[in-house]
Amino acid sequence: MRAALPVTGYLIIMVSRMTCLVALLNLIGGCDCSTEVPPQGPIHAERPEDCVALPQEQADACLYAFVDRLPGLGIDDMAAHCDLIRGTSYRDLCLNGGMTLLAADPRAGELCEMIEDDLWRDQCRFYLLGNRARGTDPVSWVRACSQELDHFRRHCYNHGLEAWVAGMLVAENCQGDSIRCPPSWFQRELIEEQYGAIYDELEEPVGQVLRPEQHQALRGLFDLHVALLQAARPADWRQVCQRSPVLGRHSTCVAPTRNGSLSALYEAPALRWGQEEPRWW
Amino acid sequence: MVVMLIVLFWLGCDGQPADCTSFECQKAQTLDLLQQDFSAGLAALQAMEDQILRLAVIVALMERPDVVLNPQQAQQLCDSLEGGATRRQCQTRFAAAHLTEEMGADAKQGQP
Repeated sequence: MRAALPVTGYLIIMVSRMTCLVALLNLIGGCDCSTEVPPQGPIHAERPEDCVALPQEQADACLYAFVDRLPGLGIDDMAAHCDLIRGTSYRDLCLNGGMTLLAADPRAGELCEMIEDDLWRDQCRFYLLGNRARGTDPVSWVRACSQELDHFRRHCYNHGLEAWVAGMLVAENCQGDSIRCPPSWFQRELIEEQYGAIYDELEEPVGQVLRPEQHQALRGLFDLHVALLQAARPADWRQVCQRSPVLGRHSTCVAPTRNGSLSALYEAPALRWGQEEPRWW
Repeated sequence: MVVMLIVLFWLGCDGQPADCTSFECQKAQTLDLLQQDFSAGLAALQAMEDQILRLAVIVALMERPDVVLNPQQAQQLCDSLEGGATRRQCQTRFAAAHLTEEMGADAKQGQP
């Protein structure tokens, strides 16, 4: 009995201490089980300066998003804007995005060279080539693409090819306006000859990169493009797609588009090139 | 005593996850969802009011080399971006990843 008293007393003291501790914990709101920070609403930044006060990642994403919202910037301004971004990933994306907007500027390549990540830098370079394909000799562009890294080479070809075909199709709506449309685009025979030259150029490098069935699929895409080139009107394009079950399944034919047409392929370059949407319907 | 303190601290928790309202939490949650169930993740992404958050989720996905989307998924994901340059970058990233994946598979198949 005597021996039990100190134990009982100890337990009473401990229980009272625990009670006090629980009370204290309740008083301060209990432990924080998560790493949550207080709720926040959507970020509304009217100007790039509004982004800077945000926590770093949000600030970086916010500044990157502005790359599409700052019309009229030159190369140096764009570089300075992207330089406000502290994280390299977002800064690289910003520079790459800036290049796509300023591809027509002879100095656009400088933005690509500021990119730290090797893959993004290469991607920026081939994108620049593709964007410029619209106004240049396609054969030169294909030769430039062949210098790219293996895994970007096909995209370099494909992007430039689509841009070029799109530009040509827009040119068909230029109605003789040689200021808006390069003169060579009016000459269908020349276009087809150049297209053939592209295909000849593609045979060897692409054949080295892709396995036979991929190569065949790519050839199918080019055949489709040639067929589309030969089709004078969108209604004919649909017939081209419907004529071949293989080509008809290709994304160029089945891509969901605004009017159930092939406009997805041609939409962006068309809108950039002309002051109004092409009237081919 | 130390064990008691730990137990007491846990007693102070309700054991429930806190509401996910912060930028980081929402980003992580949407990323997880996109990887577990793409359609549900995409719906969550499209429902986001915060454009910056939406962009951050997609950029985080773009930075994951193991994430490979099929062309339709890539298009759906990238179409949720408003800006032309950001959308094109998104499309290019996933198109390149898809091709790299195909070529990686080729290399493995070619091994004896």
